[in-house]
Amino acid sequence: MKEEDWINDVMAGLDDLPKAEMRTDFMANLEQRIHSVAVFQPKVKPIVAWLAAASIAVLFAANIVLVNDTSTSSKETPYQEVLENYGFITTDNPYSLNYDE
Amino acid sequence: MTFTVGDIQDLIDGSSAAQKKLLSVYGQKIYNLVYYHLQNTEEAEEVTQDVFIKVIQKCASFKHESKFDTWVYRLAVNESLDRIRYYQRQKRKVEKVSLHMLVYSPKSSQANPSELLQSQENQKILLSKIEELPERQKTALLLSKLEGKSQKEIAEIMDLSPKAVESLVQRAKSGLKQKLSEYFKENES
Repeated sequence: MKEEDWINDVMAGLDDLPKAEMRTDFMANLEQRIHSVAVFQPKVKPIVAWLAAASIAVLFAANIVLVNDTSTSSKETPYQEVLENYGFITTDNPYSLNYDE
Repeated sequence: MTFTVGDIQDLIDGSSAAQKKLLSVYGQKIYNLVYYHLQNTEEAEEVTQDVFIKVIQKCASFKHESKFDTWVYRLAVNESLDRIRYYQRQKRKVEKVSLHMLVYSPKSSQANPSELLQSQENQKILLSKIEELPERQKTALLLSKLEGKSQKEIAEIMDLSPKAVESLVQRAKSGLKQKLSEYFKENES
């Protein structure tokens, strides 16, 4: 057979590539395997999980900012301020043992 | 049988009927494609399993930008090429088994057993030469000839332009002819 004829003959096989045969139990095993993977698959969509994580991060950051802000702005709490304003706390304490006053 | 949008939703919801349908629609096709890339039964089974596990794990994030079919084939091509590259990095070759796992369908014209035998021999030579092609040429050729995909579909699967796919298939064919010619000359003498 001439070279070109032989090459054309072999190349014609490209249009009729044989199917790969699976082992008989492969499909059944695969079905079981993907079923077990699907059972343990989280039902929450990734976008929902990301949104939840982002919300937690924002809340956490806001808390840190607020805590830092209150600790630097005033040493007195509003509660102490109100007590002082209404005279419940006086600075000239008669029972004070501090003789320098 | 096709895998519909409803089937995809059922798959996301964990329906075993949808999983069964997924395997009956794509099981053989994906195994074929993977087998032709790796030409080893154990490897092909392992990679096919990985592909379907990924389909299950990622189907919830499947954006309907492309066809589901394209998406599944893309996963299969990527997994196969990753496995080949892994072996190349390890400087190991996937052990090629004989091609007895291929089912030859004799043409009606090949009634003669010697013709049938010759045809099978030619197929084996052809497959060994396909194996020697560069990665992307091999993938484009297999998607076109084995799976009957159009240039547009192959372009989507391989993330290339249709023109690039056309060129890959052409180069694969001329590369094959070149290799067959060399083989013919070697075996003639």
